[in-house]
Amino acid sequence: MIVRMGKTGAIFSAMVLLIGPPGGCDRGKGQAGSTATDRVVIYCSVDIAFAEPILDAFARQTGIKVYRQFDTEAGKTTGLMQKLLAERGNPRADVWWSGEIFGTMQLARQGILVSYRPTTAADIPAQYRDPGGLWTAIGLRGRVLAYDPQRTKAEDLPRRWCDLADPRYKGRIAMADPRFGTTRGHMATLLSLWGEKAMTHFYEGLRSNGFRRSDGNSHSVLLLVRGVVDLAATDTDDVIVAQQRGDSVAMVYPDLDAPDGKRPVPGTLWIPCSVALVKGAPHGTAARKLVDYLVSEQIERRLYASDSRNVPVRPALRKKLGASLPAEGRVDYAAAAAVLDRSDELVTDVLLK
Amino acid sequence: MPASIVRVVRLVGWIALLGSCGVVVAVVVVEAAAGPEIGQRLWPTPRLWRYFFTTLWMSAATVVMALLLALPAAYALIRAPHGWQRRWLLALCVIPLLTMPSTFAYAWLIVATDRGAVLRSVLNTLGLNAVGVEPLRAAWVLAVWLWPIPALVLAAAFRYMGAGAYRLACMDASPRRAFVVGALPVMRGPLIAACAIVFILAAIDTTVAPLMNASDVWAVEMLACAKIAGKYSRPAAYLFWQAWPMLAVTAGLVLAALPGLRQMAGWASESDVSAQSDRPSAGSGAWVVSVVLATGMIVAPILIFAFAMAGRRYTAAESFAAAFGTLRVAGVPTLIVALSAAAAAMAVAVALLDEPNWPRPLRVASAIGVGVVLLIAVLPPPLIAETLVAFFSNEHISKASGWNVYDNTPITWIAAMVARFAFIPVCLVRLLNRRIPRDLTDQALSDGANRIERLSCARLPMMWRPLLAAGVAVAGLSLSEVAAAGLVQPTQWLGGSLAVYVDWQMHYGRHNQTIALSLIMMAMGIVAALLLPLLVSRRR
Repeated sequence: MIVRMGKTGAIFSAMVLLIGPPGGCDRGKGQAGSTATDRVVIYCSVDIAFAEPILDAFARQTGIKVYRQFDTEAGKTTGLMQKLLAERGNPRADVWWSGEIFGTMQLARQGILVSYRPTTAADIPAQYRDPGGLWTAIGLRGRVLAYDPQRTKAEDLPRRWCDLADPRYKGRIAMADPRFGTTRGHMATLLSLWGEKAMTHFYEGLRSNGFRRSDGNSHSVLLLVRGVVDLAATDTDDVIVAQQRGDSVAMVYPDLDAPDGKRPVPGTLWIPCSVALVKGAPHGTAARKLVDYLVSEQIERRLYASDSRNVPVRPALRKKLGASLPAEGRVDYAAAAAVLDRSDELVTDVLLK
Repeated sequence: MPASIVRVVRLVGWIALLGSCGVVVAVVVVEAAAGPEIGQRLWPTPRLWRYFFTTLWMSAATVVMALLLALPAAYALIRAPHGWQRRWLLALCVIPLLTMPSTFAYAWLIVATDRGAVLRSVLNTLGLNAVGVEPLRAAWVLAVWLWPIPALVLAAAFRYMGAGAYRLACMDASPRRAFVVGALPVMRGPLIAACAIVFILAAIDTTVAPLMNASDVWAVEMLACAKIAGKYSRPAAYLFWQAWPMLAVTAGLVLAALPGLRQMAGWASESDVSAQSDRPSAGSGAWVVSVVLATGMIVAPILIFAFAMAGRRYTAAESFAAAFGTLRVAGVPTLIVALSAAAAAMAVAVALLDEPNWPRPLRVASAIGVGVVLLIAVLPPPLIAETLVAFFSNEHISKASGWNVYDNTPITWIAAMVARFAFIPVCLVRLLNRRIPRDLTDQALSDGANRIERLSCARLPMMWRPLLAAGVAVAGLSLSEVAAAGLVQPTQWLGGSLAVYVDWQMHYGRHNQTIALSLIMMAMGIVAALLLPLLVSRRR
């Protein structure tokens, strides 16, 4: 017994010692700190399924190890943004790759990002680049209403986003938590276009319609597929993924018009992904290479070819690929980003009351 | 085991205890003592109360369903005439506990979203796919995961408390009725304790409810709060003051469970020989029914996954190839963390071992350690994770510009797993410790053995197999843990948590690689579960 216990003890001790080595192996390299060029840390709120192959390809091409931190579907973007803010004095991330633009603009305003003009972004239109070089946008996804064409007739669909507050859609709508992800930016955009009074009224209508708060945009589509709801406010990529899976799902692009009808904004919101360099990035050289790579034309092409089907921001590439931006609404991203926090408060105080 | 190794293990155990549970307690106390964060409402909004009450009834429903599933199994465990039957049923009981709970929910989600499936029609006909019953669906999945807890507790309680009453009741009632009206009321203490454990675990789980479309529950909101806690200067305080109503309920449940827990602790010092030798045995009918039920609950998701994989965009071979690719990347780090957490938790258990003839301060320190471990086990996982992140990512401990424990090692992740699951080996070892005859250690004492030598020569050799079994349980649970791991996994180490990856992917719906990974995760749980009875029952 004592001999056996000795063996167990040895195994036990060895397991305890396992705690150290993996990190320890990197110790020498890591000591280089800000001068290290063989690694880069990225915080990424783009869906893992689409982002991982791209980051893997970059690592293969350059030999730079890419350490990544993703976000849950439910806590999209907001979780990593708060992490970046919390780490402001002791930054750990080098690159920020977001699935949307509004949070990135907010981070830029809060001094979390640093100016860098990627060498591969010269052909990106000015509206998709920060004038100060704090961020660069790529690959757009639209905010759409998904529905099942076998269940819902075209004439029964809302024409405008504000129509969702109409009592005829009671119990028929699913939407992700508007404190997170693209839904957050979407609601902030509506707030910036409609004003607080109309937005409050809209939220009250949505609440009395008993909208289903889902666990993310893809989950909203699952609720639609399951037959729990008839309409899911989501992103284009989630609809395309469901269609690829064989689900009976179609989408419409509701207008952004204000409820009073006085300020028509035809078309829906198209939200680009955004890439930025984090201020004080510990691995600056490798980080700049990664930013160059992520905003390059080949990545826009790749995102368009994926199930995510992000529409390129480069007009020439769009033309080359035959891609289009159906029903693009004219939106001031900066105005929406400026009211993000107020939008969160309204969501908490009125919609999720 | 040489005394010097025991000394080292105890030292490691105390370090692990302080670095996990100790950190959580210290950070929560320091941050929460200053009150709620600026602008934070102490009294929950109507929405949060709604989530709170939904959680209460979902957890209560889980308890009821888990009990309904557990009673036949407990009865079968008691009455099974052969040892191999008990061991087989025991393994089946342990499998669900070592399986990711979201696996069961994912199987349901696949059925519920598959247009052509017959099962979906059945669900629709029964109204189980309808709006308004989401928490009930979540409760059912949680019950399928947690039913073994009351089953195992009742089976153990019967040996020490219920056997006598059962035999008396058998004089004028059928065995089944004697079990229900004779034995169960006598075992109400442990039964209440088991129900309380099930309730708490159901209330703090963050993975099942979202997949069952029951996101409006407390635990999911806590996870959302953890995502925005970073904007506060005291994130742990923010989470603590968000969680206080549920913490109050948990405290109440622990108080209600205390008499039962005390009784369970007392079993270890009793030697109810008659109950053990006079085990009521009968035909294998109850055993067969329980085995069929338990197997069905395990096999159902496997069958659903197998059918769901057929005829999709990718072949099963492609799906498994992709899944094994992910397994290589995320599986190895997860396994390292699981094994390290198991080792650390076992070390904590050894560190908290004591003897009646030890000096009082040492025994008090052990008792406080056990209390802290049990207290942390019932805290919401996001709170545990946030406190550890706040501590380990602190600039003084982990300066970002260079190698540091927070980014480059899995220390925070392991600490979270130890904080969550160390209670298993700790409780087991404390119970076994009471069973060891006093004569044995007294003899060692008279032979001149010091306190560590008495542990190494007299006590530990009597309990190392159960301790290893508890370690396997900790490893299995750590492999499938999501709520805390998702918040603490390091950025610049070998990789992240496999369970977190699988859980995230589940939210995107039916996908062959995710299905293949879920099957692999289930297989790992089954292997761990089969190991446990072997470890516990093999003769020394």
